[in-house]
Amino acid sequence: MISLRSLWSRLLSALLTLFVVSLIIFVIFQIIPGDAVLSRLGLDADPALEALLREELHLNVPPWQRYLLWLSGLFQGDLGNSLRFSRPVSAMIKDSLPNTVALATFSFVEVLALGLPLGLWLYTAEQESGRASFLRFWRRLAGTLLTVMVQLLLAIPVFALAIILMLVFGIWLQLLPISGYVAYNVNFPLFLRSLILPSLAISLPSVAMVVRYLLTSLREQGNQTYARTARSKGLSEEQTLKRHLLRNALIPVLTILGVILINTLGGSIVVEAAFGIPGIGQLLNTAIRGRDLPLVQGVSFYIALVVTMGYLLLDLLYLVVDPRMKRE
Amino acid sequence: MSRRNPSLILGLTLLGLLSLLLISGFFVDDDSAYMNVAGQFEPPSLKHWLGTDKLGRDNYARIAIGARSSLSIGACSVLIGGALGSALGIVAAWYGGWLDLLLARLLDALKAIPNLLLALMIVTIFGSELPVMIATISLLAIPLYARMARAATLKLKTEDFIQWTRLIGIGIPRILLRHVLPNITGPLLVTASLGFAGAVLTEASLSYLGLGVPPPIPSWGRMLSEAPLFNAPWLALSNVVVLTLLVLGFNLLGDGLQQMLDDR
Repeated sequence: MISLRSLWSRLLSALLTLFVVSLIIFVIFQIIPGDAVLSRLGLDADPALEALLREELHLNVPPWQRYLLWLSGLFQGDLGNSLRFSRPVSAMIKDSLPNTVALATFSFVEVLALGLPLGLWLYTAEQESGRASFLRFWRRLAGTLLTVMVQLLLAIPVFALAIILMLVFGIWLQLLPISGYVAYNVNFPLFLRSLILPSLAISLPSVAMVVRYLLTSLREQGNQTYARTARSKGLSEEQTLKRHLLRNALIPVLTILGVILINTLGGSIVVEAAFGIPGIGQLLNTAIRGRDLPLVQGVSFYIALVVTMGYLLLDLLYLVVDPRMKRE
Repeated sequence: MSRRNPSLILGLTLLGLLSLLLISGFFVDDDSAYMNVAGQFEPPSLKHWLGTDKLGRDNYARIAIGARSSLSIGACSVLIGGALGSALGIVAAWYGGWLDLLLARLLDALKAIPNLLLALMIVTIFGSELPVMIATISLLAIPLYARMARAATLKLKTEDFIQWTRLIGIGIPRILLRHVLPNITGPLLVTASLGFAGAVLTEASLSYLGLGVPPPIPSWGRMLSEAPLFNAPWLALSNVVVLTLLVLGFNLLGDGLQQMLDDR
């Protein structure tokens, strides 16, 4: 059994983290010069209207009280209203969320579908040595190329990758659209098409990361004594891999997969901006540029929530997957 | 070096090439980076190695001059962020208690906010002039080094020889500077080489989003976002190559340094 006490302490520390995050963001935005009310209403605003808005934004009370008011609103599921759009922040997040979730799901499926098989293939290519030399040469060449690709993908900045993808698939080959995101409820096939390039821009570096982790992990497991035992009792390399190595090797890979999923669910400001996808990242970008404090606070809090809860769930998953953890 | 270390060699080679690019920036005709010396969107030629942009400015000159702000931001983030972060991490880990608890909490919380988000917020508020940009990115690098230094110091603290230094009565500042710091420089250098690349990327992302070092100073990220893919693909491609090789160089350097540490 997972000890209840460690579970509680983890939950508490996650809550504390969220509290500190909200504090940091609040403090940063207290420094903004200028007056939010006057910038919205104009300098010659009706004083009555001005007072009303000040009251609504709680600008008539000291900052610490404003923070507490925001916090108490949070517990009632009320993140306040956006300054520029005069809409509830929670509704705006709800509108953007499906697009980011769709992008994250797409990317994550690509990471799984490409990363795991490629990592496995590279490992087996590395292990095999007794084949005919002709085959060996091509396999080694492919292996080397793949390794170089992995290093390049780990290095290329996301927006640069986005541009390369647009250039190759959108402009030279004319296969896929480079902009014009279509919502899922408007036209489903077009929605799928419009997600391919953005999701690849997000997933390819993660694929490289998964390949690298899986390979390191498999190599490590392959040198363990139990692996040698398995081989010496007559199992083929493939059987050893399938029955013994893979399960153990996947445990560290799980972390990186979790981190990838958590990060994509937080939305990517850069990729969403590059492809014009109205998701969480775009919302945050507009919010920050418009100095729309309630919106920035709400969206960053959402991101922090996804990250902290994600890491918490990942910890729990570990306790389930790796029984050794329970003994601590 | 006891074993072959291709990562280190390749990494250093790439970074050497980039330094050449940086140095060549001081010899190119400055005007060609700012004024139109040719027709717009000229493809690469002997006169303009990497073509010209929409204002007829020489692309190579702009990339070479853009290297200055990118690399100075990277270097400052390593120097300032690295020094402050390591100091914070070492001191907190050494003294423990509420100071360490506070730092650990803060570092945890900062992990939940993407660096780019914080950078965006700070730059929106304070503007994006080069000094602000350097300060912002250096500040944001502090947690990276603090985390690393803290973990390494916590581990080191239990070692016998460190216990000895305390026992024979060496002053704490001396212990930290002469005995703790030299023993964690290895991991810190690995972190620094990744941190350098990370800082350059943060600046490039900001300027890609239009919030980087203001024009007319050439900036890699902005050049990339302004490059028209359709009529002048060489502009975007040359930028992508430079940025990728820079990050690749530092990644490989980090790998190589790590391998050197493991070999020891």
